[in-house]
Amino acid sequence: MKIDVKHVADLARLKLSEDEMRRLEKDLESILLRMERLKALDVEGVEPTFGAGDVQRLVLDQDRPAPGLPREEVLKLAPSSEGPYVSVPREGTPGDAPQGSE
Amino acid sequence: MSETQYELNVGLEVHVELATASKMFCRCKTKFGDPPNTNVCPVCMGLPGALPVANEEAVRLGVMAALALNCRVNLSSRFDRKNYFYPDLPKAYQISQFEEPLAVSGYVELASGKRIRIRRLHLEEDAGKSMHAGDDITTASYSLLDYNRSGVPLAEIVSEPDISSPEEAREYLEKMQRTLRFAGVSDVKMEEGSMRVDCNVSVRRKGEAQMGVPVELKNLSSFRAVTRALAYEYDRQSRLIEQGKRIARETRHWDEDKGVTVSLRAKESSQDYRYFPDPDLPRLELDEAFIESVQRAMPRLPNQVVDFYVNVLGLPKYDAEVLTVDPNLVKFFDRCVELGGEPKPVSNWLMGDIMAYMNAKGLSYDTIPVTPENLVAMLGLIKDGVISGKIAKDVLIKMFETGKAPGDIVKEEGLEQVSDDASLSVIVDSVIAANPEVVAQFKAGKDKVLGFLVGQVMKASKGRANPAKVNIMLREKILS
Ligand SMILES: [Zn+2]
Repeated sequence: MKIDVKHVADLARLKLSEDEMRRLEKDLESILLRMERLKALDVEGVEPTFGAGDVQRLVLDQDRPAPGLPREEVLKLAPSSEGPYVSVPREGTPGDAPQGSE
Repeated sequence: MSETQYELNVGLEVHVELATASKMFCRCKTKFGDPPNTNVCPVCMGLPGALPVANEEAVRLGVMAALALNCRVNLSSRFDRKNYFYPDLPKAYQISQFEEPLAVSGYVELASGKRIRIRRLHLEEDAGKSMHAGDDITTASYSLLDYNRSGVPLAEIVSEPDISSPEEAREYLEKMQRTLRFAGVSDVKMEEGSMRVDCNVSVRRKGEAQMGVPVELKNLSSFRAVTRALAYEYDRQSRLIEQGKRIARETRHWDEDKGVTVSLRAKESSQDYRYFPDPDLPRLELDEAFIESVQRAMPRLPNQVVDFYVNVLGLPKYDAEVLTVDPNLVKFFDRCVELGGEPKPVSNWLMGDIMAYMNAKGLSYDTIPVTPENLVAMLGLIKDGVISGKIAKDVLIKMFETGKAPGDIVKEEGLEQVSDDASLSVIVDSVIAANPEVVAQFKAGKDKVLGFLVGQVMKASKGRANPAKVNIMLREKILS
């Protein structure tokens, strides 16, 4: 299976050099190869699992608000901030977010 | 170009914020309008090692919304990661439900009887809010992020492409908004973003079996924007087909000021989101007993209220539809009827002077300054002839402004209808004396001019005279 590294990099908003792309293509292909090997296993009759834990059923928590992090701490975690906001380099055109974002 | 040659097919994706106190997967507050970045924690900031804990109330409200929209709730559903890189999404994935949504196969019924089918309703988390800093939106070089909204629970409701006109889209949205508001699952306010709408629009020649190429529309911030944008797209796409041109599969941005849609980017395919089951979240398993308990707790929905008003209370369908715009208005009306108010007069006052006042002052129906008790008392005063309907309008304004009972206002301001013969007689005599020509015309058989004289008496009494009595008295005095 061939991987379109350029497309994957675009989705991840990564700018890669030709060199990096060639290297990553190799890496990704060897990962896929491993997956192909797993695919070859006979899993007939085995229930698929999606998580690693023993909990098979989602535990629901009560809707009681609790305090989170103080804002100063949150802003300290970000590479840059301005006033009460986290600031980031501008990405794409205005409103250029996939579904769910604005 | 013959417009009728083309057919519009629209599917809507509606996001509504569920009215929980805390977020979908952490217990940060969901309050709208709090100072930026004050309701955040390691989970909704996407810090490494943080684990999501699902909110029971969000699940309950999601099931409530699903049942209110006639959906079938899946007893077992699952959360997936939807991967995309955008600064308002700190984890770089959104927890959503892709393969196995919470509910499927619902519908909204329009007044025409046509049903717009709902394909699915699923739970997901909201993203943060980004603002573009700099001179203007096109030259801004960085964005400012507020993560208070990050992780707020959403229900996404996806319709089939059954909508075939901008008006149907509007009706569908209004019906859905009312239903969800009555069910108490969301504020559903377009202006505050607790209800958001994206459209998938395609146009095809009538009779063609294959659907047209879907175009996604974004930035629709009001129902009016939805109908305008759809009308514009219908025009644009049918013209392209007419010219034999290809329609691009893309996302377009509605420009409210210019009234046009502009191309934003090629539409992503779902493959690009690289969905996979979220390993942090086991399956959401519900049982029949839970679904039944939600169904039992379902408040009365607008359709049921309209039926009751029309069939039991005898209100015109129009009144019933207007009153069900808001659950608090319905509560107010019901209480008035309970107190013995006659349905039609109560409805008239609510739809007329009360709505006008509320709209003019921008008040919301959860706090109507007049109580049902006082409105019913006012209707009683009219019925008993203590005040005229005209004076009642002024009394109502005073009730709004002071919160006082109508009886007290009438007494304090001396607004009782003048019905006693002695006081009326004085006014009637003076009007007759002041209008000899009109009186002569009436004597000569011009019956119609009596209305003018009644009007003069009403004016002289500042609207307080009892018109029926004035009428009789004028006749007697002139003709005797
Ligand atoms: Zn949080």
